[in-house]
Amino acid sequence: MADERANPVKSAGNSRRNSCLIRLSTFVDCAGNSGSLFASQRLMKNQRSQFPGRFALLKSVAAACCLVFLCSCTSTVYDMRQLDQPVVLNNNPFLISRTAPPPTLVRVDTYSATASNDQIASQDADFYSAVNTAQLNAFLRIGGTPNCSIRNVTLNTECYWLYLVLLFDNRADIEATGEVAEIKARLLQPPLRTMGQSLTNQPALQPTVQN
Amino acid sequence: MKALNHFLFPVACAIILTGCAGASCHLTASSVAQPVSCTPCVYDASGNIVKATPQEVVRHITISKYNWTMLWTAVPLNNRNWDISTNLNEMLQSTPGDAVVNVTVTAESCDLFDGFIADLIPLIPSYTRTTVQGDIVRIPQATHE
Repeated sequence: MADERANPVKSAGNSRRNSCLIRLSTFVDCAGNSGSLFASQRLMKNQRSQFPGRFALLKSVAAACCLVFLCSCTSTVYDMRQLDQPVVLNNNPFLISRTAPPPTLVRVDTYSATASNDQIASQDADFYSAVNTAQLNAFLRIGGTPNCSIRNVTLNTECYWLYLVLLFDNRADIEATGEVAEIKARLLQPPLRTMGQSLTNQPALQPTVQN
Repeated sequence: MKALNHFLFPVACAIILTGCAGASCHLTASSVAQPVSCTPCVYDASGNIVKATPQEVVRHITISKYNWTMLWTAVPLNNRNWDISTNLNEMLQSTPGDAVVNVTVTAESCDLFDGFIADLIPLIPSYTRTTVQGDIVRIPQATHE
């Protein structure tokens, strides 16, 4: 106070310096560092340089996630490979042979099934070996009867995006229709049996040439 | 004019708040001479089941087709019927085999981005992809002759 009275200019400068120091100390305290001004400035610079780096990484990860999400699509597989009987898309389940004609197939039933992306009963690591209702239906129709097969299978694939007031639904369906056919073997020759002929001489069941 | 507005407002709301996109495909393979089986099994000439083994595979085949529609799937931009007989016959000619087995059919929708945009703006076409995979096999003649 005696100083201020003696030299008012000097005292004003001192008070200005003190206020600056107070502001500086506040600033340094806010920065959470009790070191010198230069150290705190260096720290601020480091933090400033680290935050954009982390933010850029976050941005790129978010962009990648968005890209994966936007490019994602739903799929359904009509997969019958676990069945041990023929399920053919055409009319002929027989291998072509030059020597023997194919047996006759008779239609006995119809087959229809739907494979959908939400109807998978079980799925293992291999995506294509998923068991679906189409497979189960086919097994229920022809399973256990080796002379039965499914032929003329036609497949209707449908994929839809539905949008209803901000709600999205994505569906992928495969509808299969066909006919269950049974091998009918008939006797090429009528079983003529004369007196004294043994039963072992009967003509064997032979395939026919009909289609 | 008021009656027209009363009519147009719900229609506009319905168009903005609802939508659909996608496509369908009808797949057949009716005119192939050799069996085209979805399982690994076919019949031999006597009617016995023959199961193809991986060693008998001579070629793995993959055929794909894109189906495009627009205006809420009302306008198809290509033929939805797809007969793969021609493709299979060509492949069976180039790689002779006795049958096509292990046929799987995959229906794949368009991605979310295209589905979203096509839902909101029906003039933008949406697509689906149908993929057929299978194996051409050559089964030893002794088993079916």
